[in-house]
Amino acid sequence: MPLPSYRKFLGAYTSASERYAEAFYGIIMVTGCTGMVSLGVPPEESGVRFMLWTALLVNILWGLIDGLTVVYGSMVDEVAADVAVDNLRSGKESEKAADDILDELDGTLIGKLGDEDKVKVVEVIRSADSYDHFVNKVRWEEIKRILAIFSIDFVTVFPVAIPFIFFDDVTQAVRWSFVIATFLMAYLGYQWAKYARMRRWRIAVLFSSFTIFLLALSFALGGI
Amino acid sequence: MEPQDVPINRAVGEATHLPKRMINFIGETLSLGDRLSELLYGVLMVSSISGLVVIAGPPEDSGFYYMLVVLFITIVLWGLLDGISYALLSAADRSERESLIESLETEGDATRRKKAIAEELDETLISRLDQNSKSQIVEIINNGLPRQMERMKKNRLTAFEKKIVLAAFLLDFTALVILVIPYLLFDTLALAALVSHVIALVMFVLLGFYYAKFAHLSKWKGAFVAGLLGLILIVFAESTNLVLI
Repeated sequence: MPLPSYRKFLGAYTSASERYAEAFYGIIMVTGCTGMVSLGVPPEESGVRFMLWTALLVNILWGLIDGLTVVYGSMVDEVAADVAVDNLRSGKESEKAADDILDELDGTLIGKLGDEDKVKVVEVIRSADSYDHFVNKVRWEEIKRILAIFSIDFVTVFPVAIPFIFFDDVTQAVRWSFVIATFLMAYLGYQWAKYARMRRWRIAVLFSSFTIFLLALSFALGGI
Repeated sequence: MEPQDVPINRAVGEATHLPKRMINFIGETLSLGDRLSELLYGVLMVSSISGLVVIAGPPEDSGFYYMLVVLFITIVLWGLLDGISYALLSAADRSERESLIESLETEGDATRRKKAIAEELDETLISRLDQNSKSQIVEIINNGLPRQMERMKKNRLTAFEKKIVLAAFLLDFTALVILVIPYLLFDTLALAALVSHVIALVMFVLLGFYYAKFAHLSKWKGAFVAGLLGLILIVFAESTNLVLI
């Protein structure tokens, strides 16, 4: 898939903040697991190849699990919203149902409304002519969303795994991999904070400190 | 009752209420889908990290303490990372919403303004209402959104987002507490790891069951798929020598 089409694909099936979060998980998973495995592999070339495969397999599995849990987790939340709407419309625990609905909508523009307007929104939902329930099936659209999330986790392996291709010694490879991961995490933290209008350098330093801590942990446990 | 028993009873009472308070706190902070996902991530992290450490760690008795320390540090770190990323996601979504409000303020055309509001509601339960009700809600938002708000310059984590960090951390930690018990009870590392992985497998099955139950899908199919996923992870790890169980 050419790069513009891939970007379009990601844009259609993931939000910007989700993309930052997935890249964050991808880098952390690969550095965490390679750091841990480096404690037990032989320091010669076969060990480096083993690490490369570990990095790839860990992120393939993580990408699939992450994609599946995001899709199924949101399915659970959609069904919970349906239950709250049904309870509100049938008058069963309607006060709790109204609270649950407003909680569910709190992240949208409705969360910015005053209490009176929120009550009006709940009333419209209660007295609506019809309400279609969420279709809880994994269709092609959901599969594409899983693939989009999976692809972000998968792509983030490559910059961090480059040293495992070029170095013959595990210690050297792991150290360089951590250096790359530290800079990537700082860049990611900076961009994410910029998007969220937070303190960019503070988040960049916080993110890179995670990989530095992982490096120190592997070192303290007798690894690299 | 002796006077000194009163504080002891109160302390015991508070201690027995602690798990209930913790469950309530997590329930108020994370959605049902997020709670299930967090538990699954916790089980996954503990079982895979303990698997990696079994090959990496020393085989003698000191391996137990080594394993416990590594698991503890890993889960604390993972819980924090997970919680922080959740809180940042929430902060980024808030920033997105502020950007939308700012753009709506400058939008002079009422039709375009309403269209933008309707698009924002497209992925919520509002989109499943009939057309007339949707239009009414768009109208309420259009009239009710605060005007000339102070522009958001710097975004900070809210008290609720800080609670999200703690709630995600607690759920990951719960998985650690359950799966670490075999390492405290058994003498050999390989046996403890085996029992821990069996418990993890049971937890995978239960989580799959509840995912499916709350998503109104086939419960036993959900339990089977999640159990199979857990089993594949363990068998795969064994066949590639990633886990010595």
